[in-house]
Amino acid sequence: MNDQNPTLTIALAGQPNVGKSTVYNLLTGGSQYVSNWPGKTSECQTGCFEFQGETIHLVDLPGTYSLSASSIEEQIAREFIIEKQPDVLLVILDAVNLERNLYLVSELLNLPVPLVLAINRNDLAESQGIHIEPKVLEAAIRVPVISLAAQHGESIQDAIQAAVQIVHHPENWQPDRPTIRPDHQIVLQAVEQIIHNQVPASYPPDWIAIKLFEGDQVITEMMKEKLGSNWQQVHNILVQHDDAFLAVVGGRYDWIGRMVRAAIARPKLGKVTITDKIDRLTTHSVWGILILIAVMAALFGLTFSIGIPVQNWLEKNVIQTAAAWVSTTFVDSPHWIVSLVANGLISGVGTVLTLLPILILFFIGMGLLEDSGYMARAAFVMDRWMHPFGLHGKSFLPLSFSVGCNVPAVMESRIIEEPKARLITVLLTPFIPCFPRLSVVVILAPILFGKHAFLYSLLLFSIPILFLVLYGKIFHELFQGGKHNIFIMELPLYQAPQAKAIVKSVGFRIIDFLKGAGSIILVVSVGLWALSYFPGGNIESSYLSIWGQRLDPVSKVIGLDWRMAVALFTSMLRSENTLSTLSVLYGVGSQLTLTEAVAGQVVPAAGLAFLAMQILFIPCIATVAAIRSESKSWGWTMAYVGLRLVTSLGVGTLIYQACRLFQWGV
Amino acid sequence: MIEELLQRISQGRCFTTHSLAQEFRVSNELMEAMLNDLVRAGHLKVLNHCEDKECKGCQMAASCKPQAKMWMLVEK
Repeated sequence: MNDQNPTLTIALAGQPNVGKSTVYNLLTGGSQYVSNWPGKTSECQTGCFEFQGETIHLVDLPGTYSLSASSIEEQIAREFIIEKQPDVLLVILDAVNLERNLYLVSELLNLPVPLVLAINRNDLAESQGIHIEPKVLEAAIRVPVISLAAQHGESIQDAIQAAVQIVHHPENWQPDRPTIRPDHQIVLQAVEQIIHNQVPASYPPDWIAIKLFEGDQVITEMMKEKLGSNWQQVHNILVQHDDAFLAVVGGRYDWIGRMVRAAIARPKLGKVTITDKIDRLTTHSVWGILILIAVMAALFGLTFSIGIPVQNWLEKNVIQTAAAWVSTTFVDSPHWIVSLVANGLISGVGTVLTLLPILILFFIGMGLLEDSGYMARAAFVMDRWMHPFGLHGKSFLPLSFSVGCNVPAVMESRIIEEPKARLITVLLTPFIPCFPRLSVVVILAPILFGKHAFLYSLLLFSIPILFLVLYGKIFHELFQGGKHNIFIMELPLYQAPQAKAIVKSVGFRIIDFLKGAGSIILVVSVGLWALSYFPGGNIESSYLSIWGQRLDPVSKVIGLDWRMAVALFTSMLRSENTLSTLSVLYGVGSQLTLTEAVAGQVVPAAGLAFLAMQILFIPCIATVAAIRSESKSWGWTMAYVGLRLVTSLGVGTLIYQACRLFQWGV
Repeated sequence: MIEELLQRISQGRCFTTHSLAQEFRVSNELMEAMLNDLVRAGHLKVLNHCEDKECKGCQMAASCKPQAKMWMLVEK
């Protein structure tokens, strides 16, 4: 290299992965690693080469999306440009993503260094139907624009030639710069006047003023220090014009829009990707809902058609067998210990164990939907239906799955990002009665209402839905002031689900359930067992029964006898316990069937009140534990338990007293 | 353009970045940049699963991945 030659400094700027390092290596013969991931080039690499008798110092700046100094790369790049002031910037742009790349150009144009734009990967853009007119873009921005193919080394010399030309003919540097929105231009000038004498020499005052409007932390701190007491004047202007940021960036986007309209032709509307085609159906207001119903029905059907038989098998062959084995093997041991193990511990562990098949199948199904990218579409199409409750589309998934089992449904609420919407979903989800709760109605309704059982069942099923809507409205007003959240979602590309990722996800979720809800279920199971065993050694003489009988005066208002009240409380252990408790307390056995016992002792009005209470009563312990786990608050959990208790009692009383008033079924 | 985008979002309920990009005739990438500028301006908030600190102690955090990037309009 001849040191007598005139020298120029060219800095390579651009976003990460646009081919800057390739250009640098080709020109300097350097062995710098060509990064294929953002941020690999975090320092300025410098090299030299000869060009038409001149020595060119080439500086490879770190890849940046903007000059906002929000990352170390952006800070390094902009400080180099401002403080070192290279003779020219060669900005490498990715043709495939030119619009986004032009944002950086819109910022660079406000710095006191001329630019040459080099559009790389034009061939790839063309293959995607994006047609760029470099000469039109050049005319629009009034900046030299070169089309190059860095990988093949094509036109790189042309880009350097253009850079050298612009340095030697600065009079030609008259670019079309983005401007701040007109209504803020006077404000910008006012700030410029205040700061003008205090701006460091290498910094353009108008650029500093713009950065202050943008709220740039580095520049703000620098100017606070430089301005001292005068900073307050600037601060007051910035506070008065808090929309100045949008005025600045809005000007840049308008500028990009103009350039793009001038020089870029995009694919025709008819040319759509496979994802676009699928999304036209999956996000359609009608087809999208139908597809979602089909997908949920398939998930629901598969989970329960496989899960419930496995659950029943475990219940019969593992839990009941284990309990029976303990009862017969340790017959000489104290009865309370045998009962504790058989009816308390094994029952508790059994509840956890029997939930696992459903949970595993459900989590696999959800994993498939999540991993394929469909979940985001499902959330999108359901959004409009969820708004009245302050929820958005994602809340539909837990709500819909509640019919099967409230536990996984409550746990699935964690897919909702917004904390208040998540809490509302957690609290509303258990209002949908689960299968076991519905089964109690299905079994008792024919006994109580005979041929009208179907109509009464429908009425009973609609009660929790009405309360879901009512409480949804109340929670929405309470937590969100009745305001509707507006969301923007980026729909991910469809992809084949990854088995490894799904297995990992299911494993983590099951462990989470066992650690969180599982331990609570076990403790409460033992507690309920104690209440139903002591002091008499059987449920008929237990504390639960004694308290139930003490509640008799209250129960009478609702038309229930104490046995029905106790049955409600034991449903907290497992929802279907209602039937087994009624059987025990009414003495169902070889001489008396459940139908005879209930039909003989419960009038229809009391039966209707009881079933309404049962369907609205405190959810099972597993669900309560899931609510605690997801809300992360004992306060909300207990408030919810109280709400369900009060709602249940209120509705039961209302129904029974209304029946008495109209002399129906009493 | 960014003011019009903000106005459009304020009038609606749920959007996809793709539908907004088509409506404003810009690329998805530029639309995302505009949304992120609206975040910087305090008009939007990026939602993510692990925004509460408690997620750091969650054993599921490793397997928990956001399904889709989401923004929510916030009142200024």
